[in-house]
Amino acid sequence: MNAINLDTLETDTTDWSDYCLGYHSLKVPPGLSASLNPSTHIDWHYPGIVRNYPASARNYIQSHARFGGIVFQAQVNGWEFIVAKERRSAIRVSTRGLVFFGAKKIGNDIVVFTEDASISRVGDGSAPKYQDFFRNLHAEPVTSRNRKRGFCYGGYLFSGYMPRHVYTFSVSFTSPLRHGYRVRLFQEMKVPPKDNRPMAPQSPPIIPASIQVTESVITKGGYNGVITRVLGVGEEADQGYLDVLIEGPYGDLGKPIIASSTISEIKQGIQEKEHEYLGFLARIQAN
Amino acid sequence: MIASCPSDVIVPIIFVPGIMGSRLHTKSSPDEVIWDPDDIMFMLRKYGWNAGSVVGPDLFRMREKANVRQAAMTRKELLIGGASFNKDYLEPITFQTSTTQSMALDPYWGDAAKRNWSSVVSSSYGNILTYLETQKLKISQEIKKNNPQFNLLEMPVWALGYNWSASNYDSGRYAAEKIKDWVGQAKQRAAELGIQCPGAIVLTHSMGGLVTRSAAMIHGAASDIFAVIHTVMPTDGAAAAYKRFHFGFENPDASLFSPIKGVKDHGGYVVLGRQGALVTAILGHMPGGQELLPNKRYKDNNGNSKWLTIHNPERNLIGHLRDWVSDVQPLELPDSNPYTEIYRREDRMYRAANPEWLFPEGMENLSPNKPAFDYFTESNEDAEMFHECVISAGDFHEVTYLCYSDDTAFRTYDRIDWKTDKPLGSWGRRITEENVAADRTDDYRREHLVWGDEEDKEISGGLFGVDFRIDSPGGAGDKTVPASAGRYVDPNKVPPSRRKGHTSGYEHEPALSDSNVQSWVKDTIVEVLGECSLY
Repeated sequence: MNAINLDTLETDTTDWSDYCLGYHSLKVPPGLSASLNPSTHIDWHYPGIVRNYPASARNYIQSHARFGGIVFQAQVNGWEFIVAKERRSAIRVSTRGLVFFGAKKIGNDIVVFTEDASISRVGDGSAPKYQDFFRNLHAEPVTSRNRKRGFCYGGYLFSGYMPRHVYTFSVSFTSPLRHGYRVRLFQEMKVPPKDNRPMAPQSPPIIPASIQVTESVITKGGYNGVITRVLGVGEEADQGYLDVLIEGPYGDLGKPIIASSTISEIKQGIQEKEHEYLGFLARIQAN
Repeated sequence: MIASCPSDVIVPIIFVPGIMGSRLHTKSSPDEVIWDPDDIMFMLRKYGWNAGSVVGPDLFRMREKANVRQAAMTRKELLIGGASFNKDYLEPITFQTSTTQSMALDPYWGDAAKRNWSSVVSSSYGNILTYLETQKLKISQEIKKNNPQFNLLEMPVWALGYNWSASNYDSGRYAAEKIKDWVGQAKQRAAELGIQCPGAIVLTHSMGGLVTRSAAMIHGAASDIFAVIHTVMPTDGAAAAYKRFHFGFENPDASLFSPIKGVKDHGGYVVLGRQGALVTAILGHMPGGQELLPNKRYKDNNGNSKWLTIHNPERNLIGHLRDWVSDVQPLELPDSNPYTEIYRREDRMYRAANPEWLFPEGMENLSPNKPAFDYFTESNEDAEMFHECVISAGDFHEVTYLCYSDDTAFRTYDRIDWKTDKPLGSWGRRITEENVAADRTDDYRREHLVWGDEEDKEISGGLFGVDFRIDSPGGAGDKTVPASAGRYVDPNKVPPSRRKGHTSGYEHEPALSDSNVQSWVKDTIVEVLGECSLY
């Protein structure tokens, strides 16, 4: 079986748009629009962008669904930093959980990071070390010139902080035709400890009659992965899905694990769609 | 209060499905579907593929690496969307034309899509929705026998899918908004025609019952509801939910007489999660799922509130003699609060959630500022609070009917019995604080996907270690919800005359496709609408 080398794949991307995600630049086929997934995090800081928010960053934090009252507050490097009790619902504020909010207004948008904490670990969260993330973090709209300085998220470039443990950037590109791609760029800064937990018992292959499964080795930048094609059979013959997993080495910001899949069914022309999808994956390049 | 029998009425029927019975997509990207059991290809690929087993060829042994942890991580990313629960992540797919839904059409109320049928799983609920749609004339005729003036002029059937990952508190608020909206439309229509709309009849399946009680009793929809009909509701939770945190969903019995059903059931089992690690990664973060755990009021089928027992592991002769001499009793829980005595006992083997399973993405990637088990504790406290809230708000709508399977042929976990099956390994040992506190994560054994069965699931501790498994289910029920869910409801809230335990029973998920249940639902609607004193 032939391996697919994404580095030599030729795809015409002249009308594709640029998109910056994490430490990478992507090319996105026309008709697809980006939606950020909430699994994005840098170490344990979870970002969010609120477009066209009419009030201040402080006001945003205090109106947040998880805000249950201020425990500690400070201004840090232009960020509104608030340690709040965690509101769990309309009827309950946690007695043990805290949320670290750091928010800043840029233009009309609110840029916010949240982090979970427990009173048992951080007390009232007033120790200066809990503000370290924000102390050197800068945010500005992303441009083609500044993207090398940090990581991209939601059209903003964040610089001054490098992940020490882990990052995950996750986005979906979708169209109203229920077609698109989901991408997760994932990296750990240290080699994770060996997982000694038991494997699932190996079972004999089971291929449901309604699908056909094929796989190919895929290479990109010297690293290997696999593309799995799940194709319908018979009445389902016009449907298919593609899954890709490419693993880079641990600790390299620019070579993450790329986990990607097509969203829902590809109706007809799956070979042509696969070529476009592979072109999309080939254009994931480190900034 | 109108004490006379009505003549012409419009009565909307609103159906509220059970957990996993609503189709979901992400809120930020509605084109990105996350849960759609009607799309078999989709479910196979998203969940069957990530089932902790190798399905299909594995030429490059890449997917062999996709062990339970990887599968749990992928599922968690899909259904939770991050490290911990985010109630704004998912929402139901509403008002969408679906190729799988019935072509039900009403001259005024429009087609099925306009009545939100796309929000629920058609393969599970299309049958009951279509059935109800066709019952208007029969219901009207049966009521006419006692009240010749009665005319059920219109009976639009709505489906109320919801985000089942969220707390039933939040889902109840969502449901209340929909109920008020749809009943408002029906009342407006009735006013235009100069007839009466007494409110909706809400039909629920499983967890939909908790959502509806939340909508009616907490979120103010009670006055828009004429009556509630619950089917197979886990009124105070279900012991099966606890068991699934440890050992996953139940392996369906294979049957030579119905091999097609067997394959279908097995497929569903793989998709739902056949291992505790897969279930905990999802339900451990979902308040909605945790609200299915037995609450403080839960009783087993014999009426015992201590529904969890850890039997003495001294299974050999000497051990039994010692038990007999010293009269050692098994550990029985809870005394009063399963949340604090069982589920949130992090240091006990019988806790509900294993921290490592909560975070298959790796504990090392969690914030050092929050203990892993705190995430579960918070959700679990939400669940505890929900039950207290709904009970203190009145518990049930004043006109509530319910039915449940009370058939011993459908063996159900009404209680949990942790047992040991290793005489030599447990020789001379008894349940103590020390040995139940051991973290047994590494020792959970699963069954072989094809040749194994539920009996294979156990915690193995080596030759001399503790070796537990949960005893097979033995109670009457529907294989998920025990008969106690209907038997022990407060008679002052739901009188026995309004509770039906079907001794010729049915399974939980397809309960509403059972002809006995469908007949009971129809007859109950006739009884409710024909009861003049209720208007």
